[in-house]
Amino acid sequence: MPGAMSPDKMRSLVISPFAAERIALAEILRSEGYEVIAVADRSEGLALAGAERPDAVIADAQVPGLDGRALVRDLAARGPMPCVILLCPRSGRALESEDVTCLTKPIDLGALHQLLARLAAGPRAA
Amino acid sequence: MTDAAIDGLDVIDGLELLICGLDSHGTIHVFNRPCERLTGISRSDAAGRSWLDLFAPGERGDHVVAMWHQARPDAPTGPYEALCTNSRSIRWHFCRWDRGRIPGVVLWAVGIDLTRDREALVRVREVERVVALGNLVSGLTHELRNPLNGALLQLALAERSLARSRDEAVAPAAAAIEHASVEIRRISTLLDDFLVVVRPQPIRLERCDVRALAERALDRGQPKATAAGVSIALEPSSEAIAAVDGSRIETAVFQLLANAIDAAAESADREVRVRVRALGNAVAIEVEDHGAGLPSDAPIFEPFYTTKQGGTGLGLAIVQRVADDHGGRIHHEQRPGATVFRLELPITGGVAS
Repeated sequence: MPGAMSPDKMRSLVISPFAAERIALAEILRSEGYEVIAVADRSEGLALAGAERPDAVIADAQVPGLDGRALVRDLAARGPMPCVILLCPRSGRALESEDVTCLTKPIDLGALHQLLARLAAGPRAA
Repeated sequence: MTDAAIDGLDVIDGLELLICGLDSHGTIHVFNRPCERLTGISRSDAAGRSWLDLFAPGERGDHVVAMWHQARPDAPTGPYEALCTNSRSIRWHFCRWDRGRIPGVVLWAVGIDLTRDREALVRVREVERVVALGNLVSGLTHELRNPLNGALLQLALAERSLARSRDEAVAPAAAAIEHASVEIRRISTLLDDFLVVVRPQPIRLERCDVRALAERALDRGQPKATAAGVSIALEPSSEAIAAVDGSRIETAVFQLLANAIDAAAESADREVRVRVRALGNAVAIEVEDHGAGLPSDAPIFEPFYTTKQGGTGLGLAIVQRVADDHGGRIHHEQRPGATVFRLELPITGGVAS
């Protein structure tokens, strides 16, 4: 795992078919110095995850044709597992693991920042 | 009906079936024990009465009579379903048999009481309907969270853009954004509460100390109490063990506490007291405030009834739901100067055990 990262070196991939959610999230994170790629489409998102190796993937848990579990599986199949933050319309505790955290919609931006800050500060185990 | 007519018919008394022997006018001559038990009418009182009046009041008599005429020994007619005088649902078959040894009896009516089956079916349908509705509502509330999330994030973005502006003219816009955000969060809370009320959820019973659950609810309510300048206290008592779904009981007590804090905040006596008591086969949790109280006829447990500005009107509906799911009850008592809500739970876990 890399050591401490500053936000501007951290890359996040946002995957959400909901334009309002996707655009606002990307803008907010960019305004805080994160590098952000945002896509609506799931397969495009997975391809980018493989090619760009983002530190964090922030994804809607119900991207059409795909539930949160399948997304996590597909990401894991493409190499080192990024930190995954699933945005869930219902409690997603069942999906959580060492690499996966769920935030219930409407999400608490403070909680999202904490997760990303912890990731930027160093290894996930910390 | 003579005793001779009944002699030798013991066998029909031992059956679960309703059996009536009728003459060609539909008058009762034979009336077995199950018929007596069902109607509460003795066979001597039933003799000579019209079968139609007793077992199919309000039905089309000519229709039944037509069936009687079609009935043959080798081809009974029916089934024919009717509600008898005491509203029991009976399925009948008719059979002609005029060569028996009971004078005058040419037609036999044989019935099965379907009432219990029907009631069970109605209950099953009701449960299915509630589950289907619950799933529908659950799906809708989850779908609604997507646009709510988008809207809130967009407002957060707008808020940040405005915050960078040094122009004081944007202040009203910033305030408008804040108001809109508060309202969207309110919708989100409403959805959470609504789901608890409408969606049948299995309860997970575990032996818990209800007093410890009440303590946790008090911890959860403390920030609200502090903000409202209200003191909340759990009266000393010994432990009270019951088989309950701990997190849901904690939620119910928290709802009662939140209401009491709101009431106390508006009154001179800013104290809320919580008591937990073991009552033998039940555990009672009481939440008492000394606020303005509630009108005796207010439908306080109805969803969406509220006396508070900004209230969702679902707090007590949630408590009611939790009480029902535990086979317990929630009770409101208006004492002089005090409002008491009392949640009683059977120690065995009630209906779910």
